[in-house]
Amino acid sequence: MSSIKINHLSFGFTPNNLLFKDLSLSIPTSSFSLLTGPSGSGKSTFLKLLAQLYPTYGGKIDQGSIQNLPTKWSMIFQNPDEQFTMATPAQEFIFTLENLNLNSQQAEKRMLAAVQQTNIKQLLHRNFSTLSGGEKQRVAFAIILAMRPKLLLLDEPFASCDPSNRAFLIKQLALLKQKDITIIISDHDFSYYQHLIDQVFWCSNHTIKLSSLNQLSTPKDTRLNFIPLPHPTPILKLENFSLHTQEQTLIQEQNLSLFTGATLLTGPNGSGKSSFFRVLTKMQPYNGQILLHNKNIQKIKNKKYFKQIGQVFQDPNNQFLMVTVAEELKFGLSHCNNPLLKKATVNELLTLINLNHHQDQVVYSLSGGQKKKLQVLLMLLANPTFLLLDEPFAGLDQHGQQQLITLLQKYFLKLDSQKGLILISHQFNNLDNFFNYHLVLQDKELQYVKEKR
Amino acid sequence: MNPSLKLILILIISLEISFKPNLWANLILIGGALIYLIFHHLSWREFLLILFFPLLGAIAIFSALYFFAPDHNLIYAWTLFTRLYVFVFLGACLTLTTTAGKLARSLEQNLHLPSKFTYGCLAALNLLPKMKAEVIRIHYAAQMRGTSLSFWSPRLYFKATLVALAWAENINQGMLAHGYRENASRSIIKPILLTKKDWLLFLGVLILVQPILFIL
Repeated sequence: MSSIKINHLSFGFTPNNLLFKDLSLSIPTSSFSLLTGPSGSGKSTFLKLLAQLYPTYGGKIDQGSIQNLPTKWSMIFQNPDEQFTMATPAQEFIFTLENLNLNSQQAEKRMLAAVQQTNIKQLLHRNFSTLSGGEKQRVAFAIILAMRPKLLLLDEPFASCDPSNRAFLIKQLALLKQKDITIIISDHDFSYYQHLIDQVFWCSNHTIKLSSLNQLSTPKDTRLNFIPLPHPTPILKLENFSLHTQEQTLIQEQNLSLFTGATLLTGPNGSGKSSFFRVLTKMQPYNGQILLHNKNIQKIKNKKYFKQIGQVFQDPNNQFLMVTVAEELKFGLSHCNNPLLKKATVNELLTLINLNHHQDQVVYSLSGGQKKKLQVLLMLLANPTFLLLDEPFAGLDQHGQQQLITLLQKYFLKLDSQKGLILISHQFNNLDNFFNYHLVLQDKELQYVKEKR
Repeated sequence: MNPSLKLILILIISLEISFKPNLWANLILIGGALIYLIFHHLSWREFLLILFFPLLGAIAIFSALYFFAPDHNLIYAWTLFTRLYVFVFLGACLTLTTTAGKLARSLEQNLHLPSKFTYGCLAALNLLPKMKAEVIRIHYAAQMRGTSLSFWSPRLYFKATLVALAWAENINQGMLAHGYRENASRSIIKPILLTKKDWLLFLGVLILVQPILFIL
């Protein structure tokens, strides 16, 4: 069996700080490899090295080489917004298939088959900006199916997918696996497709080693226990609220309150969870009224409103205002509203999120998981009354997830009983006994559910 | 008409009227452009926008030439006033009847401009609405962290520039992931036609404009 060979490779973004040291590895072709390991260990970077995006777009190979790389490769990125060049899926298809130098009959055939297989016909002519994260991921898979690459790299492709969408895409992956394609996927939560995995690579401490599934602790059952608060106080109230986009109704008219304590918000991909968050941050128009402590939020000045409502954005880059980690934290401290963190030093803050040696790093170059931790800490410094968290666990390993939850409990929820947070997540590890309520957005309705998941 | 030819025609006419002040020609060109636009279902809203958008600038030019220039030349002032409108109406003839995607594909296929240039421009255009939303989001994100960035704050635009730079790199990587290679040949799945009719229309309009511009 032939394989992709990595010979004594050393690679880093700064000369003194190598990400991989003397890495030697052989990845069998026409097989399915899982790449896993702690956040920030270099999984995304390794995939981009295989795609030869690095060192072209950053970093430097100090020594060594990668041999036997298939030239026909494709990649699905962690952030689906980085995937597309054109305005609509149909245009993206044409662009991609023209790149492969296909004539119009071949292209049409491939496109039809891929669209049918992934069931995205209704999305083809919609603008990408109107698609949800999960829908974009589906389109990304459809394009891969039409491309038929020899090497397929996937960087946590299911992070923004609900269980049904994830199951659907895993089925597509299984079909691809049969087609003599080398598939390498980086992920933290692989319990759903263990049966597809041929070999596992463990990435940590500047190197990557062959490992096996039994050596890895698989995430446990994801049933959650919710602990209802004895005296919940409403913070936000929705009155005769409904939410429509140009194409569809996302939420039908209803009344609802959001309470103090921790609320988990779940719902299928595209049901409108992120849109609902945009409504609460005044970035999307809606019908009806939203009251914050009984005052219409449209009558509260933005400056005052956003002091009370904070958000940890799905795209971490939206959160940052400065250049380096230390600058962000210094800025956060100078505007700090949190009594527990007010007197902390930058170094103490760095320790809280395990970023001690990263103070001078540009925030945009942190790994996905590291960004998430920094984002949450920055919002804890600002200390709003009500915090919205959109997929805060994406890109984080088990330990990182646990760390975030501890931070949220210690420095936010336990500060006073009038605080509230609402969190969107598709992964529930470590979340047992953290939440007080479970809100589900389904069939155009927001509804609290009482029973255990 | 073929988007590339339309663009070239508009550029030539615009260049000509910049060198040859002719009030009648300006008025006829505005009329012609208006008829063309109405033919392509110009809405009232678009019409009013075209009318009001350049008004301030046009009035400034007019008053400078009529009230403040030593010779108070009324005809010349009107000529430059209408010239601005010719530019805007001709521009509208392109932007309101052709999508950016079509124009980009036409530039690539008919004029053989490098694909990197056309798709780069197109991707940048697709980013514009995203950029607008981004500036608002940066604004709100700053307020959530206890600071207010005014719309003239350098930090706001520094951050917006950083975001744009990051996007540019992402677009590049995204294009590569979807099989784009800078110097490789690409097929054409959706051809943009360049027909005899296009050429005839192009030459016809160009020839017709010359006597209007130079004799009238």
